[in-house]
Amino acid sequence: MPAISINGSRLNFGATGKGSTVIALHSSASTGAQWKSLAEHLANRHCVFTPDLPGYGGSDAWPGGRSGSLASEADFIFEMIEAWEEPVHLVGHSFGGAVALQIALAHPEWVRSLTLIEPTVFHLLRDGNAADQRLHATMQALSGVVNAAAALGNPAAGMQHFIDFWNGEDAWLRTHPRLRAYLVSQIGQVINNFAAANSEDWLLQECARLNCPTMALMGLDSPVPAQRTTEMLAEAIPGARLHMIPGAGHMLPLTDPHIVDPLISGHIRAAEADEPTWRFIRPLQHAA
Amino acid sequence: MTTSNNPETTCLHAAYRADPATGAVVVPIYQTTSYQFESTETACKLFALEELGNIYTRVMNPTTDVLEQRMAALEGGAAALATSSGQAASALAIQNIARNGDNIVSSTDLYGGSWNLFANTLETMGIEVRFVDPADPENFRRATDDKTRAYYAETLPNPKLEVFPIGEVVGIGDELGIPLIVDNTAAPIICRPIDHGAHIVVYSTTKYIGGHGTSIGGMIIDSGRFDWERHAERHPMLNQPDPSYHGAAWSEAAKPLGPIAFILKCRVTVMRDLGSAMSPFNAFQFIQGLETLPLRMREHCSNAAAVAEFLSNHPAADKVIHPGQHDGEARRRADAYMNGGFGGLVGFEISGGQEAGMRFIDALNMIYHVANIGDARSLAIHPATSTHQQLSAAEQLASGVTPGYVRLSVGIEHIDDIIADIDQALHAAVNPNASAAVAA
Repeated sequence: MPAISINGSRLNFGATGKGSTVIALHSSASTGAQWKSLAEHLANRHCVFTPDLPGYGGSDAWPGGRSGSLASEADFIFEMIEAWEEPVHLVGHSFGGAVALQIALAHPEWVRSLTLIEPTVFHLLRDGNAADQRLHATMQALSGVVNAAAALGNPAAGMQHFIDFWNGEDAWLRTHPRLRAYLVSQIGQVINNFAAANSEDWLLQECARLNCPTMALMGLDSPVPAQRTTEMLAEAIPGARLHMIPGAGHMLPLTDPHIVDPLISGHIRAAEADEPTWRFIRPLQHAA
Repeated sequence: MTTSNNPETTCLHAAYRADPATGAVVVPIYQTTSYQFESTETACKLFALEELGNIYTRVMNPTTDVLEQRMAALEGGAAALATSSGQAASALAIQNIARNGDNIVSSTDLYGGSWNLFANTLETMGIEVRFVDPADPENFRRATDDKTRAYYAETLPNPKLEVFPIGEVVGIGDELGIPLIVDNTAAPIICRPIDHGAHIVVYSTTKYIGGHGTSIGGMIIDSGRFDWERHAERHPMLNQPDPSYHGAAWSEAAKPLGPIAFILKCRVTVMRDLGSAMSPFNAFQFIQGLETLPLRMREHCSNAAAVAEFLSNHPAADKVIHPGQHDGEARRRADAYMNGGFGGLVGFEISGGQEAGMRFIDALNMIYHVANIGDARSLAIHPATSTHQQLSAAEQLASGVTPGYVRLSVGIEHIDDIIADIDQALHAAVNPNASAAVAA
């Protein structure tokens, strides 16, 4: 896998296609490779850049093993976007969705469109109604179990709880042993991601200042806290469209690419169609 | 006529002994548009394809014919068709079997011109190109549906220089009834894709075949090994009556002439209609180039390997890209499909990024700064500021082009002179103030 260096940190990435840039950010305990189907789907119209977020795949972990905040993850990716000097389409799933949203909130002028697939900004539930707060407690409990299992030296139990929560009962047992071993090795990073998401305190109302075309996706079989958070964001972001996909769970980009990929390409195409046509024209020229 | 399995002999002798009219040993340039028919009966047979012969240079020419036959012999194919450029060869090969509503599946590792052709121009014609990562050959199967008419890839795509898994994808295509078209521009002599099962080979002859940077041209070679009739449902353009040629069904119509349904149809319909024919003068130039191709490829390969070795030990080169320097699966593929060397291309990442890359190019004395490959002379380019300049940063990375990436097309000069020029340019690139200090 190729890599670039951002402030001395290695960022592994996949990249394919030509056309306007799409950056797709993966979920916790995953890598950029989760976007294989989307990358192939978009490749003849877009350049699809799928980095391994810090600590995953071939990318360097954060110094000291902790990222601290969503903002620091977002800043890391944003430095790259800024260096490219070109606004991008952002797609984020789960933790990657939270990072994508953070980038859009901090630098809206650099985001041409935003696709949020069940982003893990669960702190928003904390400020919701009583039912939302109960959902927030559910997520806190999940985080607590994973943390405790790791602290007690049983990371496999922690990851089993984590995977079963997101993918349904017995999902862990159905997982290939080799993948299980990889997931167990990722528990430290998963804990970091929880900590990053939990430490946020920005308010839902801040989403009102987002002005890029936004699409939110959720699976109707996904855990309720993820569905509710996605719903809240779709209501708060001006003009956002929400797609609820029956029969899909939290890992919908992987389980239902035949639905998710065309929705994303359609969203990006519609976003570009609404832009002034002169804005992003670059002449294409190739020699041997 | 001499026949041989040795490319050195084939390139000099295949398909021609002496000019039947004059006895000329060198293939003459038949600079004519048209040909006197012996009789109306002969004309009738030629137009009915009962006989193959000269009608009009857009479709056939005696000079070009020798080049076509010689290239077919060199590649182990049944027949070939010369085109006005490599781009025309790629486009015609696809248009010959895919039409509005069809799709092809292509490797993502492609020459930029092919990418534009596929992603943009073919799309306007209603032919969808599905790009897949060749790292996993099964990606080709996954992207296939009942409208898929061909697979497409380059043997040795730059800048990544990772050899395409020809045999693996042929295996998938054989199961599904899909021919593999391979662009072998960067690897003549050292790879014969047809030996590994490829069905159609295309070339930009502009590069190593010509070898001297004089002429633009292309070639399509039909292996004659794809069973179009067996996969009649998937390939209607080769099996159903063609209204553009009085209802010929090409898999049937070509039988008396040999296993050349694909290339015959390509010549007498697509080439006839689109007219991207090679000029006889350029065909002559390519015949001259072909005569020394095996010798030149030997030197290109040996010099490129030496340059890669030199760079891999040079502190100013952070990373060297050459098939011989790969490891793992990429190296296995290089060894499996390349024979006698790994080609003349070398890439490297210079310390100091884009600025250093530009300084390196400007400091070269002998090596040309040219957007071409395959010339007898050594050529260099800094893609980030030239061929790939109009691409976004992300697109450049997707193409394997980092800011400090330099591509070398290593020529056949003496290796000491090539390395000396690279060495002094590297020194100038990473010590930008050295010459200024001396001057001061």
